[in-house]
Amino acid sequence: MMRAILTGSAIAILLAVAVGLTLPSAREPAYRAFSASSVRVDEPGENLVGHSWETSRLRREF
Amino acid sequence: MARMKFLCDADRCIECNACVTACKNEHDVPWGINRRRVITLNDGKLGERSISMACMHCEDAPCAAVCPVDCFYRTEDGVVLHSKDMCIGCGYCFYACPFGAPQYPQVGNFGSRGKMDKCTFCAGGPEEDSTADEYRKYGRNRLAEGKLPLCAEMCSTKSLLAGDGEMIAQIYRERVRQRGYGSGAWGWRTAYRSDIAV
Amino acid sequence: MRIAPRGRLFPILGMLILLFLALPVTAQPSGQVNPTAAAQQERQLLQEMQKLEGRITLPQRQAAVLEQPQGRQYQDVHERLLPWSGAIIILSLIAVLAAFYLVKGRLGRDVKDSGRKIERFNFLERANHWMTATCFIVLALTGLNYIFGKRLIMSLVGPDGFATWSQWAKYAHNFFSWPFMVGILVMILLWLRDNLPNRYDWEWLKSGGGIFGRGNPDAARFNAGQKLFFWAVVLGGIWLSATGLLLLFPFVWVDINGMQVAQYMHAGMGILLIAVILSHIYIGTIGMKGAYDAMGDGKVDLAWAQHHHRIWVDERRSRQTDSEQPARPASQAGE
Repeated sequence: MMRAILTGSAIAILLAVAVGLTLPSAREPAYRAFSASSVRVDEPGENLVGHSWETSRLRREF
Repeated sequence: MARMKFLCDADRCIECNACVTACKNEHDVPWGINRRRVITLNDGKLGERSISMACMHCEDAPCAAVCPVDCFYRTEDGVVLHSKDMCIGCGYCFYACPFGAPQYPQVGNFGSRGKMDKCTFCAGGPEEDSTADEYRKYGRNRLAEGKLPLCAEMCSTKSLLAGDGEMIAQIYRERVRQRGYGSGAWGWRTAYRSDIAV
Repeated sequence: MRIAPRGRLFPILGMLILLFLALPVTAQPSGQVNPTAAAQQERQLLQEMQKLEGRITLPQRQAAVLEQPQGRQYQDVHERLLPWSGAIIILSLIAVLAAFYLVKGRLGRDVKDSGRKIERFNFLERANHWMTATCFIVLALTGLNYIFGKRLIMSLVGPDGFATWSQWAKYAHNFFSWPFMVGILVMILLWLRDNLPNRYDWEWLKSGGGIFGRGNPDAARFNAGQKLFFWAVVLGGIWLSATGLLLLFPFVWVDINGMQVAQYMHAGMGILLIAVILSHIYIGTIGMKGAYDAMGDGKVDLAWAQHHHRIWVDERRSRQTDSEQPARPASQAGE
């Protein structure tokens, strides 16, 4: 009776988690997308936006 | 209490981008995040005008209205600030902002666009004034030190004005009277729903 | 005319050259130069163009927009139109369903069970249905959270708790959207054929599906009401997927005003589809006797099937060989 419901929601959760683990790595950081290819004297910097602020937190909480 | 506003006198702006650089340096802004930027209209044509634009700290701020977690607040100086601890990186504030002020560390929207960053009128954030934590999240708090935003302070042509709305409007009015022309207070009607009558 | 002496020729030539060079300047009105002669006021520019866009040295296309007053419209739609229309549509639909239940009660309760079961949905169909349903419930709740969360639950859980919940709700909304899109596609593959219009549909609609009107209209595997629901889910799902992809990839395909419109269309269709699904949940559970079994364990009572989907039962019988249904009465075989 419940087999289809459980299977269905399990597949949904599995797919969502799989997408959640793979797609965020496809995001492009703003420091790469919105900076010109001029002189590089330093790292992009992480003040104000944090060093991958929410991805590190996400990894911790998973 | 003062009502802090920005005013860019487009007839004086020479597109030197020093305001952008000063802002970057003062708050240690990372690459790709542009709290302030200079846009040139009619580039290379007659009537070319450059305008330095950042968060205008609007009246009835659209970003604050559409935020799904209500992370924005207004200081007693009328500065619109937000809490990065609450921000979920949805990007709505950028769609609502008439001036393109909100910036995000991530371009795609899978999961989150990261913690939104924008001009704070050099007034920090909800953290304790002038603390390391505040600097890390929102940059330097010059207002707490009794100073005005650095972009306007160091503007070489005094095109960019920052300060109490009444006072900078008066300065602009006098300028327009003296020189006989002026292209208007850019963005004021959208941001503050009032214009400077000259 | 006397020829000028040699010593005076060069100054005259020089003056001529100067005059020639100065011609374009002196052709303009003399006097004080007005540097704003061709400069427009911000007000004029905004009247002519919908938004002010210029050139910028940053490699970021949307940063070149100086001013887009449409942000104020976005604020109005997002904070007035959407919450009000959303609340009115969803609450009035719940009220209509409650009134319907009070007046009509449970539909089909007079149909007596025959005790024999036939399969209506196979395991793949059911698993995909519940997969999509799980996604939809997650997407609907987290989607409503964007609009109503701060109005309803923020004061209950506190700002910080609400922000944490909303962050996770946003992850869920973004990530469950992908299996939802897969589910919609599989639904199209599985059920499209049986949901094409046929000759029974018009009769079914004219008699109000047997709920409001006369008699008990015939229907094949899906009646016209179910077909309308299928098409609402499929077309609404495609609409939500398309606008949702625009929002997942900001500024890849459209500019700032396009993003705003995508958000209006996504949220508006989301509210409509939530209303549609609420009525689907109603009719599939408490609204009609026997309806849940079809998607629950996939087997429905034969009497239920004959009452609601007579043509489907008949077609099914004529397709199957006698070996599967040995107890079939001979009188019904020829139909």
